[in-house]
Amino acid sequence: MANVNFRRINIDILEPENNIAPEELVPPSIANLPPASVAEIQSFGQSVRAALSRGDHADALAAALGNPPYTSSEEVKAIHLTTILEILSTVKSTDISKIVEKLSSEDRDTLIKYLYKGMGVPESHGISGVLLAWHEKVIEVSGQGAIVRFLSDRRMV
Amino acid sequence: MSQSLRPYLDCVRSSLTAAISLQNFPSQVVERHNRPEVEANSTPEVILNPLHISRNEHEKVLIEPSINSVRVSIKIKQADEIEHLLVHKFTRFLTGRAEAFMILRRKPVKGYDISFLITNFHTEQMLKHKLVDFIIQFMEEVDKEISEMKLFLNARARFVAEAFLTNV
Repeated sequence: MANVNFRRINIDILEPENNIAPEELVPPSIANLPPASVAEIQSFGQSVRAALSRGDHADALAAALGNPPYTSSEEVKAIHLTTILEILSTVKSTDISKIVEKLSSEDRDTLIKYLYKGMGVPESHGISGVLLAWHEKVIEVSGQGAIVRFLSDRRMV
Repeated sequence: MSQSLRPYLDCVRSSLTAAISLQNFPSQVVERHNRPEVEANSTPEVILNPLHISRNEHEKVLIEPSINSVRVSIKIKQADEIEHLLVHKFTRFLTGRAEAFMILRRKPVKGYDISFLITNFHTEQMLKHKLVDFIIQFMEEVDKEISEMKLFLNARARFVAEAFLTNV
């Protein structure tokens, strides 16, 4: 007993009522979604890239934002993020507002998630200017509410 | 203001305005305590998603919101070693006088140069848009200040070197 500094023990942690497990924070709407595998997300990325090479930017973006891998592993999420960043960086800066207006409001909220996530990873520092331009246009269309919805959304991309 | 700085500051402004929506929230863990939840980190359900905003690898902002407090961390531009030193001295000067600045955090978050901690008590005392303006203005001014100090330092070094070497 002498070598345990009992004043340093955080007894509040031992109270079961005070603790919420990370699994309990996952909203029930996505809890039962099957996680995507690496092969699936890669083939999806290929199909998006095919649409991109046809010049179908708006459709490619809408398809990529349509089913984000919420319940998948970090590796799968990173692959999907690269796909989306690729789409965002190929669009000409003059076309951004047109494409943003075409997206549904849910897709715009998902896009905000990817913009903030994209700015947080070191690989995207080269295209930060593009991401900031997209951010500006999305906020112009959907307003501050998009950011507030991002803040409180537990469906992490 | 330069062309690439404006979207960066606009993004920070809209993100901050959205993140500073605070309310009083006593601790759920300890009775009669009222702590900034983002610092206490004891109740995960009241901590919101962090916002990363970056202009390039040298200039970044991290906003970590929670129900009753927001932590804003800024990485100031440092192109070379002189700027690195100047930023270090400058932020040390400010954080040493943190109580005079109300919202300044005494220690920056790891990876960033200076941090602010805004709690619901600050938003009750001060106007929210003025707080946002203050942080944006700080970000604008600090770059100017550092490059001014660098010029002054170089001029002074040149003068000293000249004065020293004429006697040789």
